[in-house]
Formats: sequence, C-alpha cells, structure tokens
Amino acid sequence: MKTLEIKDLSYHKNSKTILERVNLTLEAGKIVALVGANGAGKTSLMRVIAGLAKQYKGSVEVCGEADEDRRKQYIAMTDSLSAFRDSRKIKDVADFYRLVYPDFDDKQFADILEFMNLNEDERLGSLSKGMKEKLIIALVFSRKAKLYLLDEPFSGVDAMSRKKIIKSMLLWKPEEATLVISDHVLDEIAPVIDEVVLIKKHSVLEQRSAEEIRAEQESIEEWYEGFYEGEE
Amino acid sequence: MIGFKQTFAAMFKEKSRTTRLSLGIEAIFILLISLYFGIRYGFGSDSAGIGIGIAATVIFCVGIWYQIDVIMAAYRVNRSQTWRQVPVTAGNFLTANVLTGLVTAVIFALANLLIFVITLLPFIFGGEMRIDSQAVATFQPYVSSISNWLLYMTLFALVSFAGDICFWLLITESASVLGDFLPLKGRTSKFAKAVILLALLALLSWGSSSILGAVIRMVSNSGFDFNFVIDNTGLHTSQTDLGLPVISWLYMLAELVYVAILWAAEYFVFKKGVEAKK
Repeated sequence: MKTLEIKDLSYHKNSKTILERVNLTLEAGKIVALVGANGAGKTSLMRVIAGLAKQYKGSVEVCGEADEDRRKQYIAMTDSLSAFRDSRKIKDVADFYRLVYPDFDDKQFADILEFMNLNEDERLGSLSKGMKEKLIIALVFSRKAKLYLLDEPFSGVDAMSRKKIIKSMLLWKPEEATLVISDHVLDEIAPVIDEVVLIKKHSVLEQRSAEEIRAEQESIEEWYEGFYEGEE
Repeated sequence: MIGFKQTFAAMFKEKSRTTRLSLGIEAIFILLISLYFGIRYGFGSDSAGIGIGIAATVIFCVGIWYQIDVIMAAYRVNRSQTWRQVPVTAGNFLTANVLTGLVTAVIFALANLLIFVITLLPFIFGGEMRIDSQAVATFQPYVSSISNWLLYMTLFALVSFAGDICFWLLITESASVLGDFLPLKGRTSKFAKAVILLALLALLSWGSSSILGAVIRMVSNSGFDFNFVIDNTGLHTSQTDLGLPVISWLYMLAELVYVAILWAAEYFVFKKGVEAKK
C-alpha cells in the first residue's frame, strides 16, 4: 500500500529552482532516509508534502489524499516549536498538541518523555539543543500518524541523544506507518533504514532499497558518498 | 481533521495569554498611579483626578498598541509552521484566526472599561461626582436613542475591527507572497513589490467607498422596507424611528459586504500563496 505518491513535482521560488520533476513513491511501513547535500531540496520536499510550501506544480498524495489541507491529518512532522515562547513549559506544548491533533496519545507522550528523561514541568528556554530535539521527537511520535517526516533530527545533537532518538523511533513508530528521515549524515541511521532516496540537482536521483545496497557489499554511507566523488 | 470549534479554542487559548499578560501589567500600573495620587492628595479630591487622566491616557495608548498586536498575532499564526501543520481547512483556520483576534480585543476593551470604572470609584463614593437631577430629566427622552446608537456603534466597531484584521492580513501576506514568488531579484523586486502593494492599498481603499455606494443604490432600488430599529426586544423593521436612520444600517450592511470581500480575498491569498515560515 502506498503512503506517499509524488508525480512530476516542481517548485520554484524567486526564479530559483528548488525542486524539478520529482517523482517518488513510498510504501507503508518503511523507514526511508532522504539524503542529499545541503541545499539539495530535502527540507523543501518535506514542506511541500506537509502542505507548508505553496505554488508548486505536480501532484502530492498522502494515503490517497491530494488535498493540501486534508492530507495534513496523516502527517506528523518535526517542528522547531517557534510558536512557543521560552517561558512555556513542556506540558503547555503538550496541551496544544492534545487540542489540535485528535491522534495525540497522552500515555505514549508520558512514556516517551520518561524514556527521554524529560520532565513536563521544564520550560522550553531551559532545554539544551539535544533536549529540545528529543522533545520534538516525543511530540511527533505521540501522534498516530501514517507518515512521519523528521527534518534533520540530529543536527547539533550529541551522540547519546542521537542514539536515544533513533531508539525511540523504532520503539514508537506504528508498524504500518512510513518514516522519512532527512539528513546528510548517514552513520547513525544506516543500520535501521529500509530505503534510501537521494536528492541531487533538485530531483530524486536514486531510490534504492537498503538491502540491495548492502547486498552489493557496499555500506550505505559509501554508496551515498559515491555520488559526490570529485565534487569537493 | 479538526473543526472550527477546536481550532478556535486552541487559538483563543494561545492568544488570550497575551491579553491576560497585557491587562495584568496595565492594571497594576494604573492601580499604582491611582494609589499614588489618592494617597498624596486624598481620595476623591480634584487633584487625585490627575491619576484618572493618566489612567485614561494609559488605557488609550495600550488599546492602540493592543489592536496592532492583535493584527500582528494573526499574521504570525498564519505564517507559523506550528500552526500550519494543524489538520484544519484553510477556511476554518482563517475564520478562527480573525474571530479569536476580535474576541480577545473585545475582552480587552471590556476589561479596560472595568479598570477605568474602578479608578473612578473613589470619586463616586467620595461624593465628588454628583448626578444633577435637572440634567437627568433633560436627558431622559434621549436615553433610548443614545442606547440604540451605542449598540449600533459597538456592532459597527466589531465588524470594522474584523475588517481591519482581514485588511492588514491581506496587505502583509500579499507582501510575503510577492517576496517569495516574484520572479525578480534585488532592487527591481523591491520596487515592483512596493508598486504592487501601493496599488493594492489604493484599490482596497477605493473598494470601501464603492461598496458603500453600491449597497445604498441596491437597497434604494429594491423597494424593500429597510427601516431597521433595535430596541430592547431585538432587531425589527417597519417601526417608528428611534434615532437610527436607515443610512446607518446601510453603512453597516456595506461594511459587512466589504469585510466579506476582504475575507474572501485574504482566503485566496492565504490558501494559494502564503507559506509557513521555516
């Protein structure tokens, strides 16, 4: 069953090409790494899927739903929480999520917070970069979504926190849900992914199963780096 | 998907925090000023009235600032990635955003009225403010008209403020959309943006007066009895005039039409072009 289907997607801003003729299909239940150099268009692709970017051409369907507003109900995407002031507590943010997302699970949120060693009375301003990233992951996985979009969840996060984040993804991702993780560093996530999608020159250059790459006696990192050889 | 009620509740909860905070700071400031002048000159004395003057000025200034803040908050919500991920239709989202702005502004206005009345209390109970029975008798026949006008003006202010929010959202978001998608760069882009925005501003202002003219013409030619009146039993037609001429209701109707047009234009810009900020 298809969770995501993108056909002929093009997205331009101020005469600049961001995405060009992107075609991509993701099956349900997969963990997918969306990789590419900085500025390749990974974040923009996620924003288009989530209905946050406008004026694109082509079609984007999530669980068969093409309407921008309606497909949001199936998507849980990481957010910088910039709408909340630093003085707000974690429980205030959870209250907001509870109010606007019918699929938000209180018990699961409490469990993930505990797993991440976070306290709901802590204020956002007192959280380190790693702790905030853990909170964002906790909020995302407290929802029972069909498609999880994690936009560079490890940037600026220490090794221990990265491990915790990856573990929580595996623990709390619903089996039938698809998880897309965008990053340009594959070390940490390589062992858990099912599929790799490489974005280069504003389009999907490769979509390969991780198993296939591994079968070719090549690590996923080496496979990815191969596309950038001689481009220093 | 969530509906209008849930969206409204969530937005109201977030926006009313600013309202409570602003009101709290303002109330403490006014209380301190009233206490200072009251203790220094004696409560109820003429000189303590300086405190009331300052309180009125503070309320006026904070009121102006708050109106701007409501519009800015509406813009921030429309551009916020946190809010834009919420699974709600664009129509419900926009309506909830405009109405929560309006409702918080009403709460703010009522609370300010209450704060002002409280600052007046020492004068009322101190006996410095006396009600002249002669003036009351002279005023009596006009009470109904005045209350009708007050009610009308309140309704008009509410509709106008909703229109203000839509108007400024439309202007600021058009600027964002032009900034994001205008196929020009550097100075040329800025110049083109400024020209388009000025044209839009002129068009919207011209639209306001044209709609009023169109509504009046339409109503005058309709042959329908538009002699509206509001009294303590509600809104009626075909009654004797209580001080609100038909033209006032035509203004109200025109304003409603204008707000509806602004909302529709803003909906189009919001739905088609306004991106969430990264």
